[in-house]
Amino acid sequence: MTRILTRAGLILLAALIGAYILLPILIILPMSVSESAFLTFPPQGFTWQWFEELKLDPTWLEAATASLRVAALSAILSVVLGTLAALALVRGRFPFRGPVLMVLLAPLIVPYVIIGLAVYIAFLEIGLTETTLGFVLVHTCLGVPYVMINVCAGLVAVDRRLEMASMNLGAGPVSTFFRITLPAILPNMLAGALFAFITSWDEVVVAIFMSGPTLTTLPVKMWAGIRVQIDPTLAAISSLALLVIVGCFLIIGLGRLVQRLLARRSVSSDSTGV
Amino acid sequence: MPKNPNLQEPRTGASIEVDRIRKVYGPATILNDVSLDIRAGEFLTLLGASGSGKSTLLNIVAGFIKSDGGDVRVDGHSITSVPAHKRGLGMVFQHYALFPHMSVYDNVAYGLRRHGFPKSEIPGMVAEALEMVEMGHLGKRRPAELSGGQQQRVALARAVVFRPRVLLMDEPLGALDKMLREQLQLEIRRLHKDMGITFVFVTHDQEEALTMSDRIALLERGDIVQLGTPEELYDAPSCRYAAEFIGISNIFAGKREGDLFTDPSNQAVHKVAGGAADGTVLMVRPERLRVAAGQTTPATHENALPAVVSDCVYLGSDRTVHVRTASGDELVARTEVPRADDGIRPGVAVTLTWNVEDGRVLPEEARR
Repeated sequence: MTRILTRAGLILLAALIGAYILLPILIILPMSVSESAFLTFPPQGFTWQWFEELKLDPTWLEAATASLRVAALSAILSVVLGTLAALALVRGRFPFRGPVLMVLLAPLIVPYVIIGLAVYIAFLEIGLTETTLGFVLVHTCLGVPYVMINVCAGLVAVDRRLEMASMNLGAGPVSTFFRITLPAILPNMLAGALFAFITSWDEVVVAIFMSGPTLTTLPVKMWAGIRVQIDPTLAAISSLALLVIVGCFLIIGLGRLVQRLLARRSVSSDSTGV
Repeated sequence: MPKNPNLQEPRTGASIEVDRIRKVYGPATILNDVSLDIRAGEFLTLLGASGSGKSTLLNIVAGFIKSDGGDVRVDGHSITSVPAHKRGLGMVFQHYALFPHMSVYDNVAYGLRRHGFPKSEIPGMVAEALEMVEMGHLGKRRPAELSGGQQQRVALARAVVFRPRVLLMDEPLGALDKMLREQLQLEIRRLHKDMGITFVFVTHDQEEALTMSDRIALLERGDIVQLGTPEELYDAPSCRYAAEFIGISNIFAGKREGDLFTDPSNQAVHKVAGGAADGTVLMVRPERLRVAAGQTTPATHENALPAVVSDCVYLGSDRTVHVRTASGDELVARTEVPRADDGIRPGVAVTLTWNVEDGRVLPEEARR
């Protein structure tokens, strides 16, 4: 009896916390289809009008594609650099390991506004503000720690004997990494990439410093928009931005499901062996 | 033809010379200038307690650990500077180390592909290797779907499929239960006979070492204390440590003068023959001791020692009698179970006797 009560209590608590986290985000969805010309809650009526209006203003699409491009590129770059950093930290032997780790983790600790200001001053000199390259460089810096933390955790769990077995069977260090180590840490790399993508996708502080008429990311344009227009177009664009993130998680979730189903099939279809 | 010359015909066992190999971790000496000649085609076991350096030595031969001095030669060619993936030695790892994301087939084919065997030959060679360990029907499985014994067989197949001239095994049976272990011990011996290559086997289990090996190298804290056949190690241990590590032994400490061994704690003088002239330890194996109730006078070729039975353990085929001498030494005798009751039970005073040649005088430390 007490066990059932404890369980019910825990479920209730989890539901409350879930609602606390999700509700403010979910409120945006009904607001984006409200007929009211202002951002109001509760919504009145139903219309796709605000989504239609997004189509009329090409700057929204430009900002969204810029954001997607920056987020995707910096996620890819973060995975490569973060994985290499994790390999060095977990497997390598070199002096100043502690300080190196601190520097790599610094973007998580240093306030974004300081990073933004510093990068703005530096990039202004060399003409990298308002460029995709500039954005990608900064956002990669912010994404690397997430990849590194994830991949470090994965690497520590990899059985060194697997790599030794691979070498013993004639595979060199590079071949062993791609055939044995990489498959083992791939889930960690993907998780890190997702974090890096999302970090870039909704990063607004540094992006404000970097943005301008030539290149503006979606969060910056939204932030600017809320100050001049208060109609539900913003709610509509927010819904779409949210959709991108939900989509990312869905793709990863589906990937895992497919993987599990395939693994199960390989068992049941086993009959003749070699 | 594979690139590595070690994997080309003729496929006979290779000899391995371990020459003054040294390994130090900080202040600890793991291997103290160990030298060992492993003959082509033999089954050699590196036996020792944990921390004896046996696994370190195997890993140095395999190329996973760099030695701090000395040389390893395979068939006379130094491999010290050859990286692990170019040594062409087969290896079975502790806990098997099968690749979890590959099928059994791909695990076994891995070495063939990396060593550059022709594509057309691979399926046949994999099938043959799996057949050899009776795993031919499970090629499509993942390692996680196999039992411990099956994983061990796959690991064996994977290690020998590319026909190495040496197979290294690092405690391969450690994780299996007793029945399965004994079965696989026999299978590994059969594999050794069939393939004719050199096996180097690492274990801490002295019974396993006695069962399987042509020769055993017993290691203690970085030194080989004895190298010999199982019979030599059991019957003529080189020192007290060897006597105590292999089998069960009754040990008397004392001093030898000519053919007499003075045992101060039991106030006894035992006759001895052979063994170390300046030895300080007299060893008698339990199965060499005879136990009789009451007082008996020893024959001229026998030694005798009075004791009191503390415990009798019935083992089916025979029994062990645990006794305590007047000075408190605990000894154990292993005898056949008598047809009629011989009156030996806890608390009974008995006389232990043994033939003079069954007592062996040993030095405390092995000569190095």
